[in-house]
Amino acid sequence: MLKVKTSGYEDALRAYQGWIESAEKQDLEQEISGLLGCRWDIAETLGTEIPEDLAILDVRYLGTLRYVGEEMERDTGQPTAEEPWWYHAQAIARGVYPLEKLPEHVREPARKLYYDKPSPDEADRERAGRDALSPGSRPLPHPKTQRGGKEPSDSMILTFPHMGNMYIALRVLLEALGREYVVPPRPSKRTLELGVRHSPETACLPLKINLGDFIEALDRGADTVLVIGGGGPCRFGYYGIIQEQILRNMGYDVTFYYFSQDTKEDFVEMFRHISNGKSLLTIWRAFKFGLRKLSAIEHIEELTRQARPVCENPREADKLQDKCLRAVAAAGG
Amino acid sequence: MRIGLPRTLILYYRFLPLVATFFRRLGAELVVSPPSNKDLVAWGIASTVDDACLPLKVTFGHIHALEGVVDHIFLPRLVSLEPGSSLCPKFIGLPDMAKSCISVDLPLISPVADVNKGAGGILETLGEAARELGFAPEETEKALGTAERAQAAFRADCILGKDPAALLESIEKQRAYVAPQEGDELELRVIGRSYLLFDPFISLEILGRLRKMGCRILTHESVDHQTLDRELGSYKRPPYWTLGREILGAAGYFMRQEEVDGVFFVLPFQCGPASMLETLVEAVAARHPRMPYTSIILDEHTGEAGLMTRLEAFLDMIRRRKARGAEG
Repeated sequence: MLKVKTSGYEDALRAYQGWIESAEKQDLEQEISGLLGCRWDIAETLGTEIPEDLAILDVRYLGTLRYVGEEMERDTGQPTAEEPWWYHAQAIARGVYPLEKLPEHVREPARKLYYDKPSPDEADRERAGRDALSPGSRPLPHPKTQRGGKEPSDSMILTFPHMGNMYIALRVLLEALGREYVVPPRPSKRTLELGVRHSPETACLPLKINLGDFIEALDRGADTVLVIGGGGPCRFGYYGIIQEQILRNMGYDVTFYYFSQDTKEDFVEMFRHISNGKSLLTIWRAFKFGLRKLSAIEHIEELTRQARPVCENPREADKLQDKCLRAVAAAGG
Repeated sequence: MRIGLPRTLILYYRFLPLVATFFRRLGAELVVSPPSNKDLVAWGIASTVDDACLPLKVTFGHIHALEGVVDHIFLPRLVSLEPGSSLCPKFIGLPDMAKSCISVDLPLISPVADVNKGAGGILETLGEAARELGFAPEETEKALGTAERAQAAFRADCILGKDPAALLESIEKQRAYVAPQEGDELELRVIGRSYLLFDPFISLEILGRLRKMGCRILTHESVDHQTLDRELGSYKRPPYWTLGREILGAAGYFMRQEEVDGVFFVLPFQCGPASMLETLVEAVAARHPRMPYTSIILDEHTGEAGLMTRLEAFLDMIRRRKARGAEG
């Protein structure tokens, strides 16, 4: 597998071209999907077909990260203010973003690419996205966190492990429940230290960091933790049970609920306790909506990973990612 | 036909009666790798990844020792042996890891045992192996029956309190069972991974040392399934690791016994499930504050001074406590 680690797009392209000359042409197709920023050029250089998604969206305007920042202005004359990434992110966040919000000239290609032609394995997710947005379907529920006003049936303040950007999607579900919740602060050195101090010595790192998250969230007022539970063989499925015990030993009065793929009882019990009088349908919709946000988040993260090595200033890629994630987080209700 | 069995993990330390009886009944020669020794362990440690647990590292030494000596090596992929539970990921990947760490040309026979996915248990892996080796189905069927009875007899002997290590030796060498010399001063219960406890080299003969220091020892292998199930029944979400369940169940059972003087938990360094299990066993110990409990993690160091200090300190504490109890 080719690895390109350069500071600039030109270097990356040169490295690619050098590699192209030395490589077997038929092996190339799979590798092409690697660095998004170079895909168009490689296809042109090789005389192969332009990848469909780049072609439809007119990559010279919209598509790849070679047009990020100054590169974009130099190559296309398009002002950076157009924020190609922004539009692309909206398009890929399909379910999250209504087509109407896309700029006019990419609305049609985006519809073709992301709405009308789902790839077989994504068909279900696509359908879910279309259903929720099709005219006539009711708007998604999105109540604000309850404070005062109508009293929840029993008060609890929820929290969950802070893993990557998952919190953006989980918040959809928590908002729909209408419960108060605490998003643990981004894991820091302190989080790790807290976790390490109270975890079994040879436990794996994520257990320790998650435990640190919980301690920080509980100290901010949370009293109920939602975790993924479930079957083995990896230790991850057993994190919650161990963490609950450690926290109780530390003197926290905390309740854990488990999202579990294995037992229906776990789900039923969790639902009964945290549903806050909301209907299963309401929660199911929020769940699906959250899932769509999650897939958008993952797509954005993947694009960033592809872009970062070929950006002249890798921080730019991160900044754009943050912007896209904020957009996804704000989407909805 | 020479069939190799690495002297390691639950393949030997639990299923030797089954595997040995089966292949012997079929007329094949069963070759067990030599007992762990310095060179073998060193080879294993050098050839595996750093993150592997000690018994796994040793396993590679055992597999290597069989290379070139036997026609086939029986190394099934053990995913799950009972519904709802599974073995450690390292067991699941063992055949692949063996091939990548030792040699891709290893003559492995690796049928899959995955009860959860309907692939059958350990018995089915033997049947599959026999098919692969070209034994007649009728013969295989008969051998399976005999092997199953041998395994059941072994399990019954363990529950009756016979020493599993001595039992395994008698089965391997096909001679009578000789009980080890037990101490008579303290009733000690030892829980842990069988493949660590009963391997005298990597466990630094911990059981033998305790016996010499005056302990009568029973291990988790002596606890029957009904008792284990009853103990685990008190957990809302018991662990899903087969061996972990046995250890946790045995811990709960032993700690409630009046006649037991102390419980000893022996863990291998870098054991994934055991790192979680330790927390659970500690909680059990905390619920039985009157029961002396300690745990010890064994790694690849062969110096025994540190171990002896720990054992002596623990036993001294128990003795002093008993003496005080007798006075007051």
